Amino acid sequence: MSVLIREIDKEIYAKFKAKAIEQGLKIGEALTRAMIEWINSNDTIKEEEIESKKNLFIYRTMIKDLEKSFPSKWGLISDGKLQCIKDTREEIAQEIERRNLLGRPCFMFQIGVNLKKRTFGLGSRIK
Amino acid sequence: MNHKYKKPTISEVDAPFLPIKIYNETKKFVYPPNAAVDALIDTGYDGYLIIPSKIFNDLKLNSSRIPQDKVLKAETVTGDSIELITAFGHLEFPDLNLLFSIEIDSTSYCSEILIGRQLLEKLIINLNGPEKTLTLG
Repeated sequence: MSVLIREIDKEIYAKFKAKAIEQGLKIGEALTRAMIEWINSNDTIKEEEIESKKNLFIYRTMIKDLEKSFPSKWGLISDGKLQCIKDTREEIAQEIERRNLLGRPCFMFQIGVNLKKRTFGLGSRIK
Repeated sequence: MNHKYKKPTISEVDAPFLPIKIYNETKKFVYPPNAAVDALIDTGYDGYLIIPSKIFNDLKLNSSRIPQDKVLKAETVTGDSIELITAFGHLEFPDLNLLFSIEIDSTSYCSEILIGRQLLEKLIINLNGPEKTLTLG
C-alpha cells in the first residue's frame, strides 16, 4: 500500500533514512517496523499504568489493616493483590524474583514506615 | 582514592563526582553494565540518589517501587513542589567495594545522576578545593 505523509520533520527523516539504508531496509519496511514498535510500546505503557493504579487501589484499601496487624513488616503488592508479607526487605526482593515479577509494576514497602520528605535546596541540580 | 573534579552538565564550575554503579533491588540489573558512571555530589539535595527516568526504567525499578502515598512531594528552595517516584535499589562504590541499600528517586526534571545528603552521611569524604580533588575514605 502507498501513502502520502505530510509534515514530516526534515532532519528526523534524514536520520531515519540513513539508518534504514545502513540496515539494508527500504523506507517502507523501516517505517513499518518503527510503527509496530511504537504501537506495542504504547500498549505496554498503558497496561503498566493500569496495573500500577490497581496496585495503588489495593494498597490504599489494605494499608490501615496492615498497620494494625503487621507493623514494621515488609509488604509486596503486584497484579492488583497483596502478594506476601515478610520480615525483611531482602525476603521481598527474593519474592519478586521467585514470583517472576521483575519488570512488572510492583509496590514494596515497610508497613508503618514513611520516607523522609525530600528537599532541593540552593545549589541543587534539579531544575 | 582520589577523584579529580569534573565539569557538570549545566555549570561552568568544576564539581566533585564519584564513580558509582546502580543496581535494582534483586541485583539482576546494573547501570552502567560495564565500568562505572560518575555521579555528581549535590549537597542541595537531601535524598540518597536521584537518577533520570530512562535509567530508572532500564533498571526495572518499577518492580520495587514505593507506593506514592509514602513518597511526599519534594520541595524546592522556591517553594515549588516536584513529584518524585521512588524505589528500593542498591548503590555500589566500586573503588571501595562498598554496597549500600538505598532509596532511589527519579523525576523527569532530573538529567544527571546526583548523590544527595542521606548517602553522604554514610561516607567520609574530603574535598580539597584548591587541588580540585575528592578523596573517599
